[in-house]
Amino acid sequence: MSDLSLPADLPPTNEPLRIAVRRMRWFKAAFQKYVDAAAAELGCQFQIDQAKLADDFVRWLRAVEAQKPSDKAARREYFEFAAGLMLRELTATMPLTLLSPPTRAAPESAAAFWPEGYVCTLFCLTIHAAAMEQEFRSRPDASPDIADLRHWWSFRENIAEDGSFSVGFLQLLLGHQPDWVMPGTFRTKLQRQLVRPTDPSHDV
Amino acid sequence: MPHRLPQPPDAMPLREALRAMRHMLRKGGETLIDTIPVADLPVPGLAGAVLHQVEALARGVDHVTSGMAKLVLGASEQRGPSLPGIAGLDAPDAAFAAACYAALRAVLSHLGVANVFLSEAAIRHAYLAVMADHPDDAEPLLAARLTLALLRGHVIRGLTAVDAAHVPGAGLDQVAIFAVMLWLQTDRPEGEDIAALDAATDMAVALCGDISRACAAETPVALAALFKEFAPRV
Repeated sequence: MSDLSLPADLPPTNEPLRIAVRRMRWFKAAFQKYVDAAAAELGCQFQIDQAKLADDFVRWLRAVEAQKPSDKAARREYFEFAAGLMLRELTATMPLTLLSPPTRAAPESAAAFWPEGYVCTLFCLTIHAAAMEQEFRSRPDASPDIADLRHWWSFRENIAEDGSFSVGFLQLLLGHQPDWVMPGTFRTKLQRQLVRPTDPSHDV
Repeated sequence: MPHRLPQPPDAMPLREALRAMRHMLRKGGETLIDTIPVADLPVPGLAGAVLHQVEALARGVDHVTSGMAKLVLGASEQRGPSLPGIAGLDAPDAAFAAACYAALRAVLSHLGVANVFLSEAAIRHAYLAVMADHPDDAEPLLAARLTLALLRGHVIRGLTAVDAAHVPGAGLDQVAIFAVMLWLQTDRPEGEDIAALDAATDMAVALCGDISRACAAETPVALAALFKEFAPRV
């Protein structure tokens, strides 16, 4: 496992991070701060399309609320899924535009290969790690797969056909078995709904 | 015999008139100069001087309104203006109109729209009408009724096609008014007022399709549902 390799400062908030991140003003501030720090670290310049970012946030919010499990035992797993959904929405519209290429990224690195995708992915991982630390006192590390350029090639190519691939990619980077079949569906909730005994009152 | 001090005169009509004059001069300045027989005026350059004077006066009243809005903002130590907070003030209609005027001006500026006329009088009228009929509505429903009343009252005037193009997919007035009403329902510390207003504006633009559909509905229910869903998320 390896540490997340970009600076992880997030804006201060008096609220739990799981609440703050679902507020537009905190989300915008966090994204801006993260992108600024990443640009300085990589030696490049990005432009943020605020309208796209707002679109992404609203879609993410609705997706997260729609699949939110009622079972508290599923929270931990759902946090990871929510981070994957965030990446799905960001990569769907890509609110970042690269204005100047990285001068401080290794030539064969993911950051050099796809700076915008790399920064969005690391942003989602950073938010996820901070929320996990706050809620569960455990900070996840990124899998060594994060350094494997082949995964990034595959990621970039596949999301062009299916945006939900991003959810599985994030699971992969967190060292978990990705759900490639229905990556955009929270399986735990679905499985519980499927195995729930039939309500006898509904019998014909 | 007790002596009651007379009520100070309501300065809002004067502000409204000055703003209207400024708007007219800005929008139609060249047309005006073409139309008025300037050569017949006793003082050369009078039109320019009038414009300059009205600009200065209007800037002054805008400053006063901004001060009033800040007074409203400061009405609570913990958070900026809210619908229940405004309703509890001595002159809620004037406070709402001042806060709404300042917030709408900021929202339109954020959207890149500068030269439109905002009617503080129409805002005040809409507030009085809604509060007279529905004083006890829950906050999202009240906000929805106010949104529709503000739209019907045409509080934003003089929008051009170029202005409207800033928000494709919905009326710019719908989006701007929705943003202000969303902001008024947002729980926020006073220090985050501006960030919250910017966020509410971005959110309204992202929701422009939903807002347009909700505004076209016969009842305020769909609009209230949008407020309920997104006010805690600004």
